[in-house]
Amino acid sequence: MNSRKVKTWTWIHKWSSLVCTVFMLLLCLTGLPLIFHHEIGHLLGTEVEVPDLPKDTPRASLDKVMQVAQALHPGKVPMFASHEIDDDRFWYVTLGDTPTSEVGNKTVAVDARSAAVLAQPKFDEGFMYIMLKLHVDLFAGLPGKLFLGLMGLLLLLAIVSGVVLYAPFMRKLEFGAVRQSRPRARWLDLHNLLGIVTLVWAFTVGATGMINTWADLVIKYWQYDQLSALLAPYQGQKPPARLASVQQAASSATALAPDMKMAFIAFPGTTFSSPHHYTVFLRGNEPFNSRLLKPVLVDAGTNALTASPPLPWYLTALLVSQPLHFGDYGGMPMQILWALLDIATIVVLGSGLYLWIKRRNPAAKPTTTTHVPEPRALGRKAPDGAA
Amino acid sequence: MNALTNSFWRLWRWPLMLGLLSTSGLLSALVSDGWGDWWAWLSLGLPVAVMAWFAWVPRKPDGR
Repeated sequence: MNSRKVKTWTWIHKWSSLVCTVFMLLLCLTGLPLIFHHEIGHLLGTEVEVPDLPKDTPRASLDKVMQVAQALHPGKVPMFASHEIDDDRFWYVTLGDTPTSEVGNKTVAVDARSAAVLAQPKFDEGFMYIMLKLHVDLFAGLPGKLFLGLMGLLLLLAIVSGVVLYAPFMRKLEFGAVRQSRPRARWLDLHNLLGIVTLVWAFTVGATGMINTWADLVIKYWQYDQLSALLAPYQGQKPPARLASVQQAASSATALAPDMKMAFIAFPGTTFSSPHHYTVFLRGNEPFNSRLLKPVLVDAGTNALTASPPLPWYLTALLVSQPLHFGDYGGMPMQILWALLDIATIVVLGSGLYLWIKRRNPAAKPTTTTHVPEPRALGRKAPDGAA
Repeated sequence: MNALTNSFWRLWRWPLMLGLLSTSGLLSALVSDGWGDWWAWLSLGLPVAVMAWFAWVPRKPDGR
């Protein structure tokens, strides 16, 4: 690689990282507790504790489950009934002021066998909620998500340019050499070592995180792309005034694919359904297809089966990207590895920042005022005195 | 093997090997809950161990 190319790639690496580093540090730090959110939930007592009943205990009717949940919040309408991926012993029932409301929603955990209320978890307060919101959208809704997605894109650019620069920087060094001579050499070597070793993981988590920021848009597109055709016969009709049995809707959906399990049911009018349908989302039993969903639309007025459109590629991509981002698909050892790799990434980000600050000092001409590295210097308007 | 491929190999064999290992681990746990999880722990654990080894285990001044 000639020196001009190195200079170009150095410029790309420097600026793509500088712009996203602060946000990436935030995402790495807030992501750390999120890896263990179930375990932390158990410790904080916010996780739903389900009584042990014999495996063959008959399951309560979903109509009864919904009735029990709605009785706690009269005036609210049903939005979703969902199972945890690995626990179908209870339902999370989500209720809201309207089917699409985003604030003031209530969640009730109802035992799927006895229809007893197990808990009323508050998903909109507490430490984990703050971590989640900072991680997902910076408390700024869709614009916040898309902004973080853009920062993710810059991270990917920083990773790619970092790999390109690995060669010229490491030409004279053995793999893994960490020179102890000067702090700057030591941190440069650590930056290169940790960066190149975490490369695949960081790229995967960065890319899948970016994909996840588009989830809302992807689901909206799915409605437009697939549901609108199915809804043509309903043109001009009002949504059903009285909803038919949700249990019957669920039963006819599961009868369609007896080897699949229910993941969640989207009630009429929610973003995952249409105004006229219950949409029952089924998941497979195998490790891989348990991550994929099969939507079944059941008429919410008549309980007639409307359609089961195959999952389009963009929803498949979104669903597969989720475990690859969360690290929740290989048990506790994988969660621990996820955390260690996350910490290694924090060191890469921190050392990169350190190297940039240290690089500016010797470059500063005596005529300029004493250079003080300030957070402000991370902004896009910082003078380009480093190269 | 000429000098160019030789130096390429010297530079990239470790990153390539660890990268392929990580990729296989990220995917194996997706498709299998038995061996797939075990392979993921091993193949993602090794890069973590490599980082820890080079970052913390003191080396002789000649760098070997």
